[in-house]
Amino acid sequence: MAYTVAVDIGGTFTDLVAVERETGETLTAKVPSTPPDFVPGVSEALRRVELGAIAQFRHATTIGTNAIIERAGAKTGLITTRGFRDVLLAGRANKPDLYDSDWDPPPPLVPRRLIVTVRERLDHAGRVVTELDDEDVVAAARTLAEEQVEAVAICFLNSFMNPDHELRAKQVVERELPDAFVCTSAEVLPEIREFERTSTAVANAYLGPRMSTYLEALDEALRAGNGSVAQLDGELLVSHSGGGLMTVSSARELPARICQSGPAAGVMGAHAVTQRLGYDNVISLDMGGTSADIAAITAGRPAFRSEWSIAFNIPIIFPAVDLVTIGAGGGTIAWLDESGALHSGPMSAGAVPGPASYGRGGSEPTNTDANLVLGRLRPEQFLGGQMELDVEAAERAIADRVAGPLGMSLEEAAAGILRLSNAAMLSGIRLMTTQRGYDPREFSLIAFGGAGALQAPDLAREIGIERVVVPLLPGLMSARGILEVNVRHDLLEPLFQRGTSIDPERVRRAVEGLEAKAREVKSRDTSVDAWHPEWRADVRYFGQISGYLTMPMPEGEPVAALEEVVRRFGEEHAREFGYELPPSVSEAEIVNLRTALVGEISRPPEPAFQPAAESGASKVAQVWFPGTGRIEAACVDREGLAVGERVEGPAIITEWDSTTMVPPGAVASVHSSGDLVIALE
Amino acid sequence: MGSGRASAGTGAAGAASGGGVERDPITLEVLRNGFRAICNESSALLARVAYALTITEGHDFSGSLLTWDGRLVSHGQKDQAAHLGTFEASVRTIIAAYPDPRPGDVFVFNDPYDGGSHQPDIKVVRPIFRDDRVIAYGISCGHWPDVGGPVPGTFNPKAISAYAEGLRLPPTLLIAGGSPVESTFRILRANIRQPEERMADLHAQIRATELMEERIGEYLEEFGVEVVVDAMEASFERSAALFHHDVGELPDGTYSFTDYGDGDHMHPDNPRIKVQLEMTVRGDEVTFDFTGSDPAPVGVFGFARPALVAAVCDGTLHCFPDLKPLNHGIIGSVTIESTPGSCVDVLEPTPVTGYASGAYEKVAAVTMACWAQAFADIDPTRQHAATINLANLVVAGPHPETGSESVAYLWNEGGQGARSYKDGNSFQLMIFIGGATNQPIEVLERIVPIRYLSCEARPDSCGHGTFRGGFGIDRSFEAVDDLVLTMHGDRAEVTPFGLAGGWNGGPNMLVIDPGTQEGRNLGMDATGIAVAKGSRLLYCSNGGGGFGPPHERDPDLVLRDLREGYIDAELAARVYGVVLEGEDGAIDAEATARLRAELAERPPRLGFGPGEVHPVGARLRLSPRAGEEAGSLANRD
Repeated sequence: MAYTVAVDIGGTFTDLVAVERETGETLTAKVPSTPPDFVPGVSEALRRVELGAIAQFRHATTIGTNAIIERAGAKTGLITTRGFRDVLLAGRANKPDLYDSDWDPPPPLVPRRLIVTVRERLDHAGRVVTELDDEDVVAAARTLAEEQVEAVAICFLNSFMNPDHELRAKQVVERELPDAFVCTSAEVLPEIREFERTSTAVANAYLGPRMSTYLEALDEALRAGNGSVAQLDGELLVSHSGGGLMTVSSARELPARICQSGPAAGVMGAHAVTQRLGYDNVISLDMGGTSADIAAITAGRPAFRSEWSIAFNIPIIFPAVDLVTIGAGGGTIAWLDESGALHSGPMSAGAVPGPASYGRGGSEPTNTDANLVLGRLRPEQFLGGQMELDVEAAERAIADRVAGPLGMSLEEAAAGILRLSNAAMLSGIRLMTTQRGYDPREFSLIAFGGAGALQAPDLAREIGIERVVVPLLPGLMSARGILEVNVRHDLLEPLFQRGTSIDPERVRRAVEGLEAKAREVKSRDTSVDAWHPEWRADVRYFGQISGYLTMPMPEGEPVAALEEVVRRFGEEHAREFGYELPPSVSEAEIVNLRTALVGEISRPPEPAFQPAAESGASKVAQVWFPGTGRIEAACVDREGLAVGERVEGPAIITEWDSTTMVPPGAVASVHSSGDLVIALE
Repeated sequence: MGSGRASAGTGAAGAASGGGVERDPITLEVLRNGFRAICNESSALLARVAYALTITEGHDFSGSLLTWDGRLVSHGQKDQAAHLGTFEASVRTIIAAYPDPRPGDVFVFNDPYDGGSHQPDIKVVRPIFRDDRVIAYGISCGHWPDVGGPVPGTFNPKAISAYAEGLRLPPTLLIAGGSPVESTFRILRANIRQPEERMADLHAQIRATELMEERIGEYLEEFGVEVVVDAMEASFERSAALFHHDVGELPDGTYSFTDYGDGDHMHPDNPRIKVQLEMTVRGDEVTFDFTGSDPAPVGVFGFARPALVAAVCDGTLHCFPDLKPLNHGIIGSVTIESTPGSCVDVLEPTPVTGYASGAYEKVAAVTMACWAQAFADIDPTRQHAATINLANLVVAGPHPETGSESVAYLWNEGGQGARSYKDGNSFQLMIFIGGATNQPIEVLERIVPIRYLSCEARPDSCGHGTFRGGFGIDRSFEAVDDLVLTMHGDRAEVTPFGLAGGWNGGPNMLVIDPGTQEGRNLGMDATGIAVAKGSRLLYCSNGGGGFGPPHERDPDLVLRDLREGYIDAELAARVYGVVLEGEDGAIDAEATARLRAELAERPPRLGFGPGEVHPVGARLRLSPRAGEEAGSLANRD
């Protein structure tokens, strides 16, 4: 018996899904995470499932994101071009709110005194204006050595067009600080814009030492076994924000890519589940305790973006699964402002004190409290009965804070709270669909995370979506998602060619550059069975400044392929933005060439679904719905459902860490995969 | 004194159609958020597809929704406050010209004197219909890099009338019943530089308003016309109630402040230009009286009445951040008095393109300084010294890749004014374009033939104080080809003021070939200056004003600034009276106490320039509560 094990370490829970490689036997665990050293939590999860041997260990983690948000990374220095010390601190000189004069920017990852400059300068085309002064680099490195930095990022102006100065400086720094983690901005990703590239390189350096230590400790713990825990005899793979995996050696070089790996894996899991069900256009809703992550899958492919932010002013330019995070989770607080207007979020009661009904001192009403008041959440079955919810406390919170002041009934207020939270999620769904030229009514909605399946049916009705999927193991989707993906690396070379005058020589150099990078990746990730490069081009109208569209390139000779991309660009622009420009106004510009290098690895079978032999007994609960008031609803245990079984709404389907609400008029049926499909007329 | 004018509002008290609808608080909130989301979506679209650097990287654009009769409902979260306050007047002007629009009509507009801001702000306005009735107006406003006139970039510091600025568009039909009005497009193309790029921007703006129409349509479908229209009214009532409630908490009284523009550059004597505000709080009402301000200058500085409303609302919302978004509930709640023909209420054809660096920032600053006095005993977090002022530099030269003429607008971030309880931040934008961003050097160097030499905070550019202003930035550059420069700025001499004994901030500067014999200060009205390849330009921004006397600053904060490389030991001693021991840089407590006692004895240098103490600002008391707030914040890094 050999298992592929997937573990997703979140801030609160560490989730595990293990699948036996022959039989598909599936074991799961959910245990509390153990910050700051997360390895014990992983060991505990493994202890729970009692595996034989681990053939492969895949994992997603929030450790990187947390280290940045809590500013708990390495002491990091930055070496940059003389005269440009404040590129990082100036950022884009923006702020989150137009009128908030009280606001202060969060502290930078590198304080100003650890930002040192050296003489060198490249022009916009990457030509040398001022040679790199090696003595300046030595002096800079020694200054940082005196400060005992653990990591150094090197970012020079215009280095995306020519990495030589950065690489030379890196050699010097590595000589002077042999123990430090050192990375250059062009190695990390050679994309235009000095602040965004510096930010990415700095975040990478900031995470480098801690992430290396953590990965080593994890690797050691997994291989040592330790009595009661199975031993890893195979590869350790780490998932990243782009929804793929990396080997540990790659992860050590690009730790900033690991941030956001959990949410990205959730989308990849949603993608795999809905692909098997045969749905190509899907909105993925991962609703947890504090927030909801929303992503769109169109024509069978998840959407990616070329840049995202870990936190305010910390942009990361790695391609990432495109998702939007909305302040709508189980713990999201509903509140009245001074004028008596009701709001939902974005603040959350978190795990502590948590919703009022947790009885841990929380007194503000949350979505969880509203669901409880309406009878949709079963107080005695929360977390498999490990924690009983206090219905009276929830009622009190909603009555005192919302229903009373607004002169509404308790149930109307609770339903109103959920409607507002759904409206917030709806705006997120619009962002991912209508804003990109897609009609959300043509989508299915897949809902997971602890709170997703409770609110998704109402949300779907609000939008006009007819089908909601609640996957098997909805509370473990990120871990499940990691089991579904391949190794993936995203490589980039700048091009800056106008569509009517593509220079074959420039294209050849860019292609060679990407191929060289690909060879390097392949030599590192030796466990991969087969590599498939997917070529893409970033295209915009010449003259557009900010955005571009990333378009797939057809097979074949690169220049011809690019010309084909240019021909299709207008149409693509029209779909995305609602209009295209006449040729008299503008031609296309190819900004960057990209390769998504996908490495196939052995994939475990799908998690096996063990349906109940016959239907379990169902109980009855009183559940409130708008229009009907409190009515009788079936209360069903999900583990007791057989394949093909239909549950007619109104009904509540409970499982260990999640509850599904089936509204009146809707029917949930159990697919042979174990996934629930709810049909809303 | 001139004739006062009544309320800034329209006086259209509640749309007739809104009455009698039963209000459900949940639906109201869904719609209120929805209105905002519509504006955000429309703004986000424009940012992604436009060509103009001013729009894409500078974020100098806005998308807003107004009622059927032109009252502001909502705007994008990061839009430009300077635009928003003018939208009511813009739409009312269009309604007056086209009282019976047809579905599919779209207007283009920029007339500064009759409801606009300045000529470069091109507003695309679309009436939004349900059946044959106008339910709302959608507006997409973008600052175009050029709208014609004698100077590339349209800013003409030497203009003495609007005829020497750029194209002026009264309400003009751009699309009639869904069909483009070709004559309008032809007029636009014939009168502006880089017409192809601007037509691309125009298409983007048209689409941005169409998007608003689609989204509103979805809400009309779901909730019905009456409910949607009533939700707009409800949002005004809510904002007005909150505002009046907050104003009612303030002590009655008249608070005044005076600020100046550096000079009327086209007047033979180049006199300072006074902007004076007397703000009166009575009960829960507030009146802003600008009638003590100077007459309109000969040259550019001032703005017309709509932009005055925008600037007063902008300064006010900075002191009432919980009131956002700006809507008619607030605009209609303030009374503004001004003298037609004065520098804050100019009449046609006094030039206005330069109001962004001129009157706007001064009006916002004095508005905030008056609120600071009213809030003195109530809430120190509402007290702010003055912030960086725009110094807009238009650079024209051959495109480094194509060789064709290319124009870029440059602006600098700089210092925020000190708060009464903590320092102002560095690397902030002016009040005027608070929602904007800076522009990447690597992008600019691909578009115009310049090579940056610096992007660093300038030492000693902040307004020193118990809490100091943010630092100004040095973004000097070199011409890598022949260039033509035009500067449109201010606050090179009268710098952002400090309050309560805090010093005024450092100056905006534009100097060619600094440190050489040919070096000279080009000033804030440099126009069409030919710059030869190889020349260097020192281009620096204001630091923010300080709050409270510098010698009362927490020595640890002085030490922090020193260690971060913002100031040196000499400055620490000279300005802050903080003396350091030897090499390790610990504070010499005894010597510090002695020096500080000495500094406290010296009378402040009163004046309006950098390093001086603003005479009116000096009289403001430090709020009694500022100290306690400061105690808890002093160690925050």
